[in-house]
Amino acid sequence: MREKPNINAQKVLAIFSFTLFVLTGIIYAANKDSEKLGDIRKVKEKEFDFWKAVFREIPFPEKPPQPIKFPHNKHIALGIDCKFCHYYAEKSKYAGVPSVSTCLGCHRYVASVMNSPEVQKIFKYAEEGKPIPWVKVHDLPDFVRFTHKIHVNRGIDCKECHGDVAQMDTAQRVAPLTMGWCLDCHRKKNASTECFACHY
Amino acid sequence: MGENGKEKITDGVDLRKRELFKIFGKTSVAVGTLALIESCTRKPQPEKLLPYLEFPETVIPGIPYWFATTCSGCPASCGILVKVEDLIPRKIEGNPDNPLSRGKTCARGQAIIHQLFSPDRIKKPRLKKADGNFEEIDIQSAIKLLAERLKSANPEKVFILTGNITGKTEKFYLDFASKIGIPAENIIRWESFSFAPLRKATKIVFGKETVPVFRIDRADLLISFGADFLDTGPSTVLYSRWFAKFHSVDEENNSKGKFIYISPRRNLTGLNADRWIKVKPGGEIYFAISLLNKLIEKSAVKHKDVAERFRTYLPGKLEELAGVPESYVDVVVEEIKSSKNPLIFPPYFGDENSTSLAAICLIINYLLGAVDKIILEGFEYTKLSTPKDIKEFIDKVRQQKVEVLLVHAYDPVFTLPKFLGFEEALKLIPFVVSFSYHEDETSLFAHLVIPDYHQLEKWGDAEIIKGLVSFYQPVISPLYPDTKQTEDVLIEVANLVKEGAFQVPSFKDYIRAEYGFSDEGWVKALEKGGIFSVDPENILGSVDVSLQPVEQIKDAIKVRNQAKGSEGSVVIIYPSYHLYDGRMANSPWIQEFFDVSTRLAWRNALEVNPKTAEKLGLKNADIVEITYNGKKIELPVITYYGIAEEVFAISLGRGHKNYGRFANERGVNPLQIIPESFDESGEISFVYSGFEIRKTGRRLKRLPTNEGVPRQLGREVAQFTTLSILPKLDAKKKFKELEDIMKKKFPRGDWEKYGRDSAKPNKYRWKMVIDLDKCIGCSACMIACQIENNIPFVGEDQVIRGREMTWVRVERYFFTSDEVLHSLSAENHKEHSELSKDGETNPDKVVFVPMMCQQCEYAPCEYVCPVYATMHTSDGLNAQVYNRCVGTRFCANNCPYKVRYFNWHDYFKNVPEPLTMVFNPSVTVRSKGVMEKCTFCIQRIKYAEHEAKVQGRDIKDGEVVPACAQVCPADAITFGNIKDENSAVSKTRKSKRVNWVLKELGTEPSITYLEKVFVDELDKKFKEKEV
Repeated sequence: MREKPNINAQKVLAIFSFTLFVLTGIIYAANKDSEKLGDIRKVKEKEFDFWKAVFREIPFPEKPPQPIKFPHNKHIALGIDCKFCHYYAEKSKYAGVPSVSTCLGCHRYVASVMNSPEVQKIFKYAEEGKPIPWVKVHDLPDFVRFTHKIHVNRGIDCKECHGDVAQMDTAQRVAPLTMGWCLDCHRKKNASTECFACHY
Repeated sequence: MGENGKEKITDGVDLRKRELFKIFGKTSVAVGTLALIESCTRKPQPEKLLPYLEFPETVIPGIPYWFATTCSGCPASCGILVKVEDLIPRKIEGNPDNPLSRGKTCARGQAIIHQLFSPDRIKKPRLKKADGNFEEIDIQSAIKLLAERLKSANPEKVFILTGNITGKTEKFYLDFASKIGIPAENIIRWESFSFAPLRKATKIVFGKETVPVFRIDRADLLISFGADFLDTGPSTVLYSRWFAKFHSVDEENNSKGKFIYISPRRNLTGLNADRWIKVKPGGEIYFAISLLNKLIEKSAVKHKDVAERFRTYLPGKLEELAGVPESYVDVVVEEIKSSKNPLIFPPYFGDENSTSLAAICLIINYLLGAVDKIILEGFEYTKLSTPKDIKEFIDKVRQQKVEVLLVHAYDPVFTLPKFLGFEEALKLIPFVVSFSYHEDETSLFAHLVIPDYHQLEKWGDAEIIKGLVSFYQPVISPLYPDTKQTEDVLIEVANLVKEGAFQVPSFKDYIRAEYGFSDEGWVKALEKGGIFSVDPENILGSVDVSLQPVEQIKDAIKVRNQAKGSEGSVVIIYPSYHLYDGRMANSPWIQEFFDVSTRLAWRNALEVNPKTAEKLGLKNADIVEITYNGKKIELPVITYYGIAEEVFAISLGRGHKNYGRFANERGVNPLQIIPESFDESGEISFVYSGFEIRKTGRRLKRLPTNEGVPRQLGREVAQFTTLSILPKLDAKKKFKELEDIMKKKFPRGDWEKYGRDSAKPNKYRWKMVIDLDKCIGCSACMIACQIENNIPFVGEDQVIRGREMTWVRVERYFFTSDEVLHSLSAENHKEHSELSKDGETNPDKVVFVPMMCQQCEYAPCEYVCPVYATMHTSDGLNAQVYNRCVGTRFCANNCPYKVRYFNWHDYFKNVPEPLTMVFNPSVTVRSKGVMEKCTFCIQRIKYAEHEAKVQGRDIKDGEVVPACAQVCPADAITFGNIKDENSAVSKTRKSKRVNWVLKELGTEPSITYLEKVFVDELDKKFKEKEV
């Protein structure tokens, strides 16, 4: 004969789970407006998916607001190569973001968009002598040592990680940038899958 | 159903570690918990990506650049290369082109980068107000103020106190002085170690005041009378390299340079001696006289007629005067007779007789014909003032002959002995200007402080040997806009005092104009690091150097009786290797550097021989009070084998009162209590008697040291052999032995296929060889590793708890000569183990073992990690993955080598801004709860690997050099790919002396140690004479 299931244990489990759920909710609510998370968070509250962030499928946010709405698609349509602006990609671990002077190198002479409010922002930054505070879209944890140089030189196209930027306006992350995603590709390409390949 | 179900659960799921975590991960409760932890801890924050306003033309972020400049850790001025990554200097390596450093540095040289980013630098000029408080002013008004003051002052009464200035910098100061009418003799050059006794001795013997370069690399017998050339000599790096060359064994000829050290205490240099002759303090001179007499007697000398006239008489029996039997001198004489190239190393400083001792040493060298190894055109320390000169200066202050004093030397208030009264004198001077870049004690007494640049922000030159010029150039733009290079300040001041005094706008242009460089030549010279027209390796001393008249020499040599009241204890003070004169104390990593002799960090102690300690009832960490004439200091006791009985020793360079947060109140400065006592040359004596030492009854919980017992206690960690056994050794036999151990451990024969190459073949297999015979134990590897790998300092409290962080530590083991003599044939290791348990006798043989992760092929740590945070890579490394580590510490407990270090706290948070700048961006900064250890500098391996892959080639031999191997001034560490037959590491592994630490455990370490070779014949000779 089977014994009756222990109701008390179930109750305890249920209460425990419920408490956890409530606690989680409270902490989430408390954190939502926390200043520690920065201004960005407040603006993009809607786009931020808490559960996705928790499971680290997509570290938030996917498409953060940028100080200047830089349209990648328009620039690429003009035939500008990625490496024209991100010109350390072949040489260094960082791909690099263009300096303000690089932007102005063209925009000083492009009359058609000169009066656009977004382009005017560049001039403002240049005038003030401040760097443009771009927000990182592809941010790896600090314990990952990713090197653009080796990937670009071994024939990995920018698209494979950054998506089809030619179709994007402001930069958007398409890859989850999780370790599993990295390893999938490493396995396919027969690259090193050892921990020491990236973590040291 | 129940039973079936149970079976299914246990059968269906493979309960391996990873799977277990997956199961947990799938349960909802666990998810809830994780989410809770997640929302509590993880605060995702989008990082900013700040571009340059304008791209710097030559700089690529992420790619390091190297700038050649000059080290300021001591006056030796070695050439260094500074790695600048993302415009911030991160690491220092030696300049391979510089003949002094040849790509190496000492421990101090590694740490000067911490001084640059010290949080306690003076950031703005200060003016002392009437109420004694300081007020911050801007740099231009400070310059104007100084100029006005100099204008109104009588130039005869203006004094400049500088460090050791050489080359065109020296000329600049003379120019500056002459242009505003200051007499040249008003420039006083003060360094704590002026080598005055040796300078005076060369003047007496050869008629030329100089700090000679001793070619120890050409000697086969070296006798040092307390000269610490490896610690704080005129060029530590040069002498370390030469010493390793002289002292390392020649396996083919079965020979090795012998080193005899005669002194009451052993510092780093002494610990490297094959035989330490433990004389009484002050007994060295009698030993030297006795040696001179015996050499003449046994006609072991070349210039016999001259020699005869040098015969003197000992004022008593050697046994009583020096505390060693007369027969020891006979052995030394025999050794000298049987060697081809003997060399006597005179002391740089010592007791009150050190000038005379140095002179006698030089005479013996002359008589032995060893002058070919003494380059008299030596180091440019000849114009340095002695403490006696400073005393004269202080007398001038008292006679009101000093109106303005410009101080541009390292903290004279701290480095000058208190009895001179420099502090009081400063108060009497109407206007004192300090040019210190960092908070220091002198700047407290200054009326005006104009902060200098740090040496890494400066222009300049140093010519430490004539013809060997090393340039200073800035590697970073000045951190603080209101600081200014002192020389530039002086140019502006001179121009304000006297219009058009200097035609050049800055000191950089002054140097350039003085050397007469073209644009191209200047850039080339800066790239190279200097003008190296002289290489001390290629010059020899002149054989026909002539002695001064014998009678004159004999008159000049005075032996003073040191027995100034036999009451009280004898205390030796000595400079410490890593702090030098105290100037390095503002680096927290140097503070946590385990002293080369006492193994203490963060403080100094009163050193006592264990026997004496037992007699006096003193124990480690007991606090004692040391009194002299009513002046008191308190220190803990540490027992140390390297000091003679009935003698005490205290190190210099600690006890700062105002040198930044890391240096203040750390230890005690013995210069505070020493009595007035000068040597013939004007140098202070470093040996004093008449101290009263009293127990206070208090004691520290534990001493902050990383050494448990200095003895091996039967383990076989320190691998050594002797010169007589060496020919019988066989590398193949030793590899066979290792293989047998491994086969025993894996009896099923799966040794070869387990681990190793089975998983994934790789063309690289990284191995390291450490030559214990070359290692001098300087621990430069330790600090180089800390800087390269972002290893934080942990603080004194944590060190006391045994939580120090040193991926490489230099272990030091003492042996008695009996242990070495009796035990060591390769066969009876057992007997030797038995003997080493005996700790009663005074051990005097030392083996240094740099101990880092052995990267075992069959690593015990890997088996026990529950989360696979440590595992083997295909290129033979034992990887430690920080982000996977959950901190169970099983690995550290299972590691027989104790080389894994745990982050008990977020230690990196101890590092204040802007000191965090030195962190290497290529290495993760570890946080709390993570285990860490040596990785063979994986970031350097990966960098080379990527470089090679991009260029479509293999990594070349020597392309990957870990930080420890790179810095080692003795070149004891070889690293490379074992799969390349021709690599340096493959070749050194063929040595007869190969051995592995704790190989019997079957871990098959990747680090091979080459055994240290003791000269047993030397010990035998001494032993025979003793009986």
